[in-house]
Amino acid sequence: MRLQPQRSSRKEADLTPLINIVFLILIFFLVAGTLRPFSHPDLELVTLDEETSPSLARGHLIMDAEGALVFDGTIIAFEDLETAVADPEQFSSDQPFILIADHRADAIETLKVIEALRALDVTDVSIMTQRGGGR
Amino acid sequence: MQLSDTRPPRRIMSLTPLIDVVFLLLVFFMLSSTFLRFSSFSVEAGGAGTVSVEPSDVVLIHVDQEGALRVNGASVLPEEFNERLAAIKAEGGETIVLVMRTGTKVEDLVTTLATVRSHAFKTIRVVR
Repeated sequence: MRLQPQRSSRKEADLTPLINIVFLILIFFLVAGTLRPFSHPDLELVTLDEETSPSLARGHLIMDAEGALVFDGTIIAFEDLETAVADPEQFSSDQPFILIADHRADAIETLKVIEALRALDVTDVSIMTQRGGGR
Repeated sequence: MQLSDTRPPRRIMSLTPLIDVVFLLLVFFMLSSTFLRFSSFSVEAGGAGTVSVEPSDVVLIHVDQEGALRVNGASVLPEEFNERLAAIKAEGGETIVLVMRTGTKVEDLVTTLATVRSHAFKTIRVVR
């Protein structure tokens, strides 16, 4: 008795269902997500339940939990704030200057930064928050 | 003269480069997108200067470490703070001075300021 070989000739796996799913996930992230407005490790914002104001423009100054300041991707000392924010004119009056402060950062240091910005004629300062609850 | 058909047999287009690119896009969006809803809290910086007010009108709110609150020197529990502010407003208080003590956090500043603001006082000052 002769047995037929069971294995059919080896074919390439059909990738079409995989591509379908990957496209679906891609479109989900495109539609549902927004790009993170800042990139900084371990930064946790203040969670505020109330809706204070509509969304914001771009982040400018980051203050992490230890109080280190990051402006345009570079770490700066508090004394260098004036040099870093060399052109306060670019922060036009209709858009607030966004301070991305960690909720564990020192309040006094934050107030000092806000005062320093005020001295540079940047009066409209906003602290970035995230909305909590009510998801 | 007889010409032979030189075209190769039609093959299925390779999808591999497409999948590569789609995977790259997918990984990019997975890493860089967020589902947090951001907002901003305005802290207009008032200039340093002198303000003339009747001392009796001023309500002093001290924010101590761990968010402990004192209104005119008397300790107030966070859950009673809102009622206390409503009472002050009803009594005609219009000027609030928020004193941030050493060791307070940004969270204390923002949440306290938001609570005070919700009562629509005429003047709110933050000092350190």
